[in-house]
Amino acid sequence: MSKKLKVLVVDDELRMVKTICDILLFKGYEALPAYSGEEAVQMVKGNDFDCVLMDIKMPGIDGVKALKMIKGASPDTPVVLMSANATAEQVAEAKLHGAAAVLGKPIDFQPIFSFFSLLGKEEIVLIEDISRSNRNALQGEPFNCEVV
Amino acid sequence: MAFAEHEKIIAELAILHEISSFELLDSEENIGRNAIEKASRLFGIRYFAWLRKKGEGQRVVASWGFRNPADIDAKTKGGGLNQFCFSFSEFGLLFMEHSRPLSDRERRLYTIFARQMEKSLMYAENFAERQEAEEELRSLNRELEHKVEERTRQLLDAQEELVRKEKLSILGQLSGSVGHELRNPLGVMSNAVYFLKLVHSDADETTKEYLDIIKQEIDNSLRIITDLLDFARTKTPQTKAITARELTDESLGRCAIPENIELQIEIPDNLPLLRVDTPQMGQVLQNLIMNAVQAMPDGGALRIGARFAGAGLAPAPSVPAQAGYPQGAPLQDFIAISVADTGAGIMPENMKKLFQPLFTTKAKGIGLGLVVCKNLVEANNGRIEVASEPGKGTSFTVLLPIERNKI
Repeated sequence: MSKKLKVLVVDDELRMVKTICDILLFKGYEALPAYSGEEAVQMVKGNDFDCVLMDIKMPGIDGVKALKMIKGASPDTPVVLMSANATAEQVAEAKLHGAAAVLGKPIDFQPIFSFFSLLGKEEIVLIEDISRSNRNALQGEPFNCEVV
Repeated sequence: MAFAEHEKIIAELAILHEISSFELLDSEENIGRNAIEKASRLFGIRYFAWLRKKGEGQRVVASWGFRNPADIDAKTKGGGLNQFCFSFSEFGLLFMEHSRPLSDRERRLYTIFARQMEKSLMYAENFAERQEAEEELRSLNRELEHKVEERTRQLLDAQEELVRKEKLSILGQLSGSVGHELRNPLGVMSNAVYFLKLVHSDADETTKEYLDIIKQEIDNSLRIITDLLDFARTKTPQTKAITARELTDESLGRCAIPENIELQIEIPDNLPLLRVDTPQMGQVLQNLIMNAVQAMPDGGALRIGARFAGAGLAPAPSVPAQAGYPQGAPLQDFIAISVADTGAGIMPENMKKLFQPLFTTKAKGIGLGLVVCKNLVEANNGRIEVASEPGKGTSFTVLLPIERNKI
């Protein structure tokens, strides 16, 4: 990897942020933590992130609101949202406002790494999170990892 | 055979004679009763007809005795009233029209006689009326009891359903929030294990095994949470047309059927299409199939069948019909898909609890599977039914609506 991908990890859960960051760091990415929507929006304004990985359910500005603000400040930064239990409406709204994907928690890292590795290539890709699609199809919940 | 006129007069006079031989001190009631008895004994009179005058407290204005009931109609309809009329309504005295004027004594006796006849008659009529009324009352009572029983049963059913709904609602909220809250810590744990595996990719086998154990148990916990969340919210079905065969095959594809279980499928090819939410009904069938499999740890036969169940009323609302719900929404055709096992069966006392949240007979299980099934089936305008015989097996039947707009 010529240039380290710079990822902003946002969650109000400190250990969630820490574990994700540590995994990303170990995998050779640059990972910065943020613990609220507000903080994330501030950080996006001052930095040039390749991707934002953000929880939906947070106190204060939640993930979907923060997504809109991030997209306003930096339209080209892909934002991947995470949720322990997003409603179909939230997922639809997130996609509407340009979320690259909405992932279910716990996070399956493999599709994320695949996504990151494709990020620099400026191609239109679609990653289907097969392992989840069955389960979520059962729930009727579109948790597929779609990158468009 | 009608009385000849002279016969009647003889009868009357004979009765009169009999009456006159009573002690007038005797109670009027006894005189009347004796007179009637004598009339019947002496003249073979078994039937008495009485005419009452309207509008005057319905007092008796005429009476006849008959040997043969067939004569009663002839006499009472034939205008004979004028010929043989005890009329004490107008004069307050008994008067026999075509006879000589009565002596005071005769008139008094006749009056007593007529009054007693009237009393006896009224008594008899009252008795008959009372019997009739009592019978009607008894019948009404029975009907009422039946209605009360029926209503009580409906109320109990409704109450049970309400309790179920209440439980479901509370459990739904609880499991929704608990499930959600648990996913986060489990997510952190899952991340931590992932990290440890990354960092210690060269760890010894025991360490790797233990990391795997943690990961597997996290996954188990997540499965339970997914069940809980499924249960917490039944989504509005997104229906589409599908054949019973496709639906069944799809569900079977997700189930591991052990080798000691023989799978028998009977689904005719010419069944109409179903209109259901495919993932939801797939989940229901999968659940029923897995239950059936688990009911046969020592092997057996798993029978899956589908048949046209014909027209039936749309599922009744879970509230009694009297509550103002339109009973029997439009007629709907159903297909019945059944999943039957040859397992231990369900004990009769457990049959009613099957669809109650948190009821389970499994050592492992939280008792939500069938609740979710019932909720999903009903959300799809279907019905779920169960039949079981202890020692022989259990059969769950899901009635699902067919596609209405066949093209």
